[in-house]
Amino acid sequence: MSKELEKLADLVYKCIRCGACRSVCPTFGEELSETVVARGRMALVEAVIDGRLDMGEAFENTIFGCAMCGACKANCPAGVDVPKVIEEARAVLAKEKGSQSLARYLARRSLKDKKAMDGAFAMMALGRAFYAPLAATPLAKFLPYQYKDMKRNLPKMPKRPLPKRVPEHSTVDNAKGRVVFYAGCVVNYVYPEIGETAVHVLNAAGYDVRIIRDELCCGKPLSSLGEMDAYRKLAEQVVAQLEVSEADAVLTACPTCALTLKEDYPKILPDSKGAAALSDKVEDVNRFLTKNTDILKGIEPIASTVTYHDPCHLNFGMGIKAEPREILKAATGGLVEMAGAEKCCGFGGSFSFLNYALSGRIASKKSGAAIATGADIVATACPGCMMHMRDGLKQAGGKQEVLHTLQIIEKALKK
Amino acid sequence: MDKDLINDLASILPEGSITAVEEELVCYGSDATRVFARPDVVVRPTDADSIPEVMIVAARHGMPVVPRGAGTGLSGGCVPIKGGIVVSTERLNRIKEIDTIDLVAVVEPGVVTQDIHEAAEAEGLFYPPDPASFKACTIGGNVAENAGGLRGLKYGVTRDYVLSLKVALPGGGVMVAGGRTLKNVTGYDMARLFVGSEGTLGFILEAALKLIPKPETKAAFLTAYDTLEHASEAVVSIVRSGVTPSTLEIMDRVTLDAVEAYRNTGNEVRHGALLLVEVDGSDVEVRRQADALDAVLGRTAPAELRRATDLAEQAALWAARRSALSALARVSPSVILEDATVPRKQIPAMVRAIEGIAKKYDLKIGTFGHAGDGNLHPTIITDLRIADNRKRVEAAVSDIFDAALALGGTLSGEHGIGLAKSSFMERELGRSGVAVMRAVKDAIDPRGLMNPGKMFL
Repeated sequence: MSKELEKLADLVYKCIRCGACRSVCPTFGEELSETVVARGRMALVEAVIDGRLDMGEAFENTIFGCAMCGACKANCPAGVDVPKVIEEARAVLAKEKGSQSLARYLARRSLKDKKAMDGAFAMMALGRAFYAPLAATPLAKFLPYQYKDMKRNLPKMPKRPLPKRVPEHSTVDNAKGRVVFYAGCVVNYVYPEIGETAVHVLNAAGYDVRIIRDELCCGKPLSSLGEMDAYRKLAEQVVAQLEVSEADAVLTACPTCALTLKEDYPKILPDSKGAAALSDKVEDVNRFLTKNTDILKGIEPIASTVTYHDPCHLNFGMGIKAEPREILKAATGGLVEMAGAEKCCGFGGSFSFLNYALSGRIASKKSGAAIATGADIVATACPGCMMHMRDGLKQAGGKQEVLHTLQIIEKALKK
Repeated sequence: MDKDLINDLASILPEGSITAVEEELVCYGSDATRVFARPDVVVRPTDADSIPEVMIVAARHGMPVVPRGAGTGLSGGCVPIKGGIVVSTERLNRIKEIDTIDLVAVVEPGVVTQDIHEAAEAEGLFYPPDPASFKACTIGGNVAENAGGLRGLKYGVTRDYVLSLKVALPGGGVMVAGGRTLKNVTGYDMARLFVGSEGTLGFILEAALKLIPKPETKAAFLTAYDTLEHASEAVVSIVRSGVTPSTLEIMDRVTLDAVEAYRNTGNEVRHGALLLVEVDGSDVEVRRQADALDAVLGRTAPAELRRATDLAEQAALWAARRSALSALARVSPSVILEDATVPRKQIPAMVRAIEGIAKKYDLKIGTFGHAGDGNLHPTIITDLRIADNRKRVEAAVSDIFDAALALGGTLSGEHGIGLAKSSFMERELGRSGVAVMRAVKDAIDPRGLMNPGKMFL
């Protein structure tokens, strides 16, 4: 039995086993097994705490096989913070069993500082270019992670990340205020065009925008692998880096970053005034634009119709559903809701790298629903979802373009 | 672990459908009662036709067979208290047919109840039974437990919608009980025997369910009263007035506070009890009934009377009601949910009795439920990890049963007897009542392999 797990007893005991999570859990929806739904995962953690179960391989798999979408937490009548339990259980597994040592090592090393991040993402770009062709050959089985599976379409990584594309300060005349745009790793290194768009749109809304030239990762990949010490250290650095006193708001186009900065930092850094101040200022860009600006008055709807996928951390994590839809209704030829818009796309960050086959099946269902709408564009508000939806749609034979809500606003801005 | 058993099962079931991995056994050993017992093996068939063969293997090994749906039950029905083979239906989830002329749905046992609702409604039809867990629970379990729900008063319970059942019997036989026609008097009403049999007689492989036309529209009212007793008297007035609400739910102050704390709607709870009343039907009918209801409710002297103005508001009201149990669960570490049911004119007397019992044993009891059909859910909120609490809870539960029986009621309206209530069966049925049930059980399952340890067994 694990002493470390014991501190989760009260959290876990709150689960009344009602099974409500069965109707929303994406991994259960695919596997139809009680071990891969929140209720089962809680029962397993409880069994380990009670000394009825050892932390064996199957336990490890089910704990690391959660997409951390938070649908269970959002729908749990008993209020069990499932993602928190999973994260802590991963930390215990990492510490006591050395679980996922390679992934943790890579994450720790790559996210340590700016230089390491630049290097790691350059390596990933190289890796993609180099390994992808190999994945079609019998050598594939020696490749790590997703490269084993040729099917996955990973984005081609750009040569210049966001800080090399936009200035640190992008100002406008008679600014209504000042915001910091926290890009996050996926926007910074994979889809910098979303960052450029964010700056452009926020300028158009009348705000001065600052980006952080040597911005660090929010640390979510570390916490979801159970690397809590490294995560905390990184969080402290991010808080220090994002000096927010001058800014009206810190905006993100990545809901996972927003959720981490806003909800998680104050919990893991309870004594940090900076973390509390940052938390107060962090806001999702969709909410900020619809609540605080008149941007939607200055647009002319594009002709294309659109369907929308709710990013889990935006919807389940922060309850933001209406704002992106308000944007899409104003900026396009019509919003056609897909069936199960709120269902996870299967990305889940490291989840999709550690469990690509399952994550791909979830994406395939999601893509089917998106295609069935007949809409011209699939919109979402998370760069991670975009990556996964583009892969899923391509595999499902969908022709739709996948765009961030910000990119749709930009298309609709009056010239 | 019995290697022979696993090998025999492996010879009839596809790969990946049998498991004896400890993690799986932990996950398949309990339901929403939280009572846990470890099964010997779990099977998740993907083809209902393989289940009679599982029965043969079980008989050969003398192994209990415990059917399991979504594990959302509230009486321990699927807990493998004597070990054995847990046969889970979650992968038998096909809706085989929605017939818009015969008005029948043919479904496999693992179909989620909500999926039946949606499939029927897509055809303009209606499957009324709606246990509070309808988003997760499955039809096999609904049938085996004879699940009720919020619409019992007007539309009845699962039993009233089961036309026929295909059942695997202990030993491997297969029978069809009932038929597809509304009228059918050939022999004993065997379908009714299997409904509510809690998996002790056979394994439901397929069900043909009656569907009805979908009501066009509905109207909902919310009335508040100073006391639970006052609200329960209003229930009697409503029913006496000739209006038959499609739902008539009651919640007391303890429940309302818990629900509000959970849902955080910003509506401060000011009253002692709430009634939620809904009428449905055609436009004309709903207008007429709503007017009548408005008048009746007005005469019950409520502290507050409000008509929900749109469907979204109605949905929010029902969502609040459905979350009652879980919301109560947030308040304290343990919840003990009962569902003793009385004839509806006895609701005020039952409410008084429950309040008396709460006082007598110094327990916090939240009462909510389907007042319109006499089905209350007195829910004790406590911490069972403390031994003294456990004793008082047991005594209080026994008193609740006695009170319900004294008022002409029953131990369980819709959750089933399962594990917790088995020792009380004789109080309600008498010795000969239990003896007849035992004789039926022995006739169908002489070796006692189907879900042993449940009900009176």
